[in-house]
Amino acid sequence: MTDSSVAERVIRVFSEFKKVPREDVKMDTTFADLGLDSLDGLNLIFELEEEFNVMIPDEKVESMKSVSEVVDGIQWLLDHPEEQPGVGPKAPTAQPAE
Amino acid sequence: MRKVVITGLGVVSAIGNNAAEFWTSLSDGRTGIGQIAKTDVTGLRFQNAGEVKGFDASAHFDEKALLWLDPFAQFGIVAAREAIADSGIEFSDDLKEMSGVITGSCLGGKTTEDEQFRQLYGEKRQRYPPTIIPRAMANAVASHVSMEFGLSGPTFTTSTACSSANHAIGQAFWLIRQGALDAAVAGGSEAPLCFGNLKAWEAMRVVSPDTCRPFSKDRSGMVLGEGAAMFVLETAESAIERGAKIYAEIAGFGMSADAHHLTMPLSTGAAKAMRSALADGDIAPESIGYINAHGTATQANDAMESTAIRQVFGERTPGIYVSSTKSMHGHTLGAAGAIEAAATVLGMKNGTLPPNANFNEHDPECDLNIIANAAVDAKVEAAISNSFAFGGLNAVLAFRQFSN
Repeated sequence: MTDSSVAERVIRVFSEFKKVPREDVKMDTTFADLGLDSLDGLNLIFELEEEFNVMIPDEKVESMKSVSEVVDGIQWLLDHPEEQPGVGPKAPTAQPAE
Repeated sequence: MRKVVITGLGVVSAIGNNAAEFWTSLSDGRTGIGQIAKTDVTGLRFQNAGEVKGFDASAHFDEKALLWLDPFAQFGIVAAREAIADSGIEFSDDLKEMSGVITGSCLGGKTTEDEQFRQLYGEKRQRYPPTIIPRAMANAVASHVSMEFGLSGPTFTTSTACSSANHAIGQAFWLIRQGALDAAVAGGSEAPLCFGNLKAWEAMRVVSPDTCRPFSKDRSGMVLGEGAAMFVLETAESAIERGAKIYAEIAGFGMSADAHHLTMPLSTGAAKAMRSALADGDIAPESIGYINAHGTATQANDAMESTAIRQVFGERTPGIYVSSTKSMHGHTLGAAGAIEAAATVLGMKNGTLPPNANFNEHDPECDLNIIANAAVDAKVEAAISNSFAFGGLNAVLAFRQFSN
């Protein structure tokens, strides 16, 4: 996977999330530029996790405030899959606690 | 107007399964936050919670009763029984007619639903037992307690996320004050530590991977907890007449909505609820000596709450002790207001204010007189306990030392 394809996919997720043309989303576009508040930002991070099938740790989220920072962060996670938190047990087996 | 007092209390929490144990832990500043044991949390971004330990449900309920009780109901009923026994109240036939049960819960029987949905979708289970609906309903505690003690007055459940219990206790207080009830069992309970719900909290990115450090500069988010607290409320007149011990007077109750944002709290909304509680009880701000803060240990809440407290108390703020006991029992959501009201009135009665555990470093954004890590001996005249919910719904209770 090349840098440009990650960037293209990130830009597509941003543009679909905000329902704006792709050309309006540049590498230096920030969450704030798009008028995203904290909850919108959280939701966008979730869409990015879905797109790339990654789990983005909380401390990484804090350093993702623009398209380029998101691209860098996701590229890093794709290169370091061992740094992703696991996806957890498929299902707990215990009965409801009595 | 009738005065309303607390004559009994019961607690189930991560730091004690009755009020006495709870108080010992609180006054020692001992935290109950640790690795979650009741469900497999492998891979979850956080591993810690304020879990109730050593709670033997079969010691409190027979096998048949347990079929119908989610853990949140077990906690609530056990706390209600303790509160009623503690108060020594005798429910005569007349008093039963004028007594109600008002409880708070954010999630109701989520643990039951989580497990059943797993079996339904995951294991393609074909049939359900008929116990699910009654176990899952959020009003289960109010209903069970009313049935067990025959209390037939106004009885219901409030669900306002993290303010649920304060809203419940406030309603009970007002109904007694205005004469619609003579006595009430009120409080909150919650059992949020099932995997589906933990996973949902993980997605909010507000849960600390470490522990709960309210108002500390290095705070890293909230930590969930489970448990319940319940109170017996009655008129001062009836409490005096029967020679009951009185923990404190519930003197005021205030509510507000931020009308702003789902998850970003607004200091003006919180301040409005605090001012309303003081005005409701005709309480002079200078009589407030302690605030049991909402203090979730998220960046947003603690800075906002500090600003709100300054808006209300101004230059008197440094003279008011503040702690968030969530640092010890965790954030118990719909039970939080009740457990924290218990911490507040026990502190007032014992002349010892519970600390804010896990406090490392003063934060200029939280410029309050925090009771850092160790309890302080102080007899305060009055105190408030804050609850602020996601969705901007605020509820504040004010307590006063009772004097006839």
